[in-house]
Amino acid sequence: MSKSYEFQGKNVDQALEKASDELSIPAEKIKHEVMAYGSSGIFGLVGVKKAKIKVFVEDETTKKKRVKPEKPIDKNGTVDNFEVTVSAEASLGSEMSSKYDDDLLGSGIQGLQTIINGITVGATVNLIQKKDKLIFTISGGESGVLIGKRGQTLEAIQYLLEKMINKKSTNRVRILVDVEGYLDKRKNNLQQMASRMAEKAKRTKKPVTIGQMNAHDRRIVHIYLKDETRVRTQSIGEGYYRKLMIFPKKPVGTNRKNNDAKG
Amino acid sequence: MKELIKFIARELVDFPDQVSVEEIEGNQTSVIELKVAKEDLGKVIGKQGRTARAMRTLLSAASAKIKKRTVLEIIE
Repeated sequence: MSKSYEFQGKNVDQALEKASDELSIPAEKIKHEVMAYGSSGIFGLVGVKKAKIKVFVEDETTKKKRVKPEKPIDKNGTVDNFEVTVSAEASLGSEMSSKYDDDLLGSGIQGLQTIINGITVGATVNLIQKKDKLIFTISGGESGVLIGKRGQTLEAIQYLLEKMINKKSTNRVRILVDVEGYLDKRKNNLQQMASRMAEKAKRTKKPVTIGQMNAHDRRIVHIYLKDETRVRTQSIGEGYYRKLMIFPKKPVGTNRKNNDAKG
Repeated sequence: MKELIKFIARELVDFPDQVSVEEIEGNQTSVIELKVAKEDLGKVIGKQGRTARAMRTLLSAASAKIKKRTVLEIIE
């Protein structure tokens, strides 16, 4: 069984070097696949992209060494009762996960636990560290109450937790709070609704409005309909009244091949 | 309930010592009065009242289980 890991670096060579360091395999022996060549951007300022490689490891013994995710919380005895899952992904780019301060993670988990304890009993918090965000997952307890109508409560929890964490942190930390897979479910629902609405817009040739969504929901719809060539999406209005509109695109010259290309 | 708001407010403000929370209980409805330092008012209210709204949402979720209503007042 071969395992694959991802590494990042300024360029492919650097990523390889890092991989060989981490896995203690000589660089020339590493089987890898380049996922993205980095680019240093303009003057190394704008558009800097890291190179990404995927490394395949066949030897199971090397895996042993990898299983040393820094368990950030364990050392403060205060939060012993919270289970902390550090996902494999997070432990890979060790440079990435060290971006988060241990105390910060601990207080984040404690803060979230305090909030949900006020709402329901018997819910527990897990933390997954991703390279660009922290994902808190809540399991157990009354998940319905935690989610609220249209995910209102969940959104409020996430918003407040984000504020609390970023108050303590010097650099911006992005977080996500999920209750028993609700976010995925919501995403699926939204995508289904989006394609239904897009169909409707195409059929009636009139714009369709979807109101009552938060920024995150709108984003899901925008991204989902981004590749749909025959409609375009736009958010209109301000604040609470912001709505998402789906406009049918006028076919540009009906005899264009463009039209039946995406049928 | 009171502790929940106190905890959140203290995490959000610059002067946690000046946060005080009073709960006035009624039969059906209780009122929670949140007092913070003048400089911190904006922090507990948030942009377009978003933070205050989030706290109120939490309160209604929390008070649903005891079948009551809770109102959050931010006192100047």
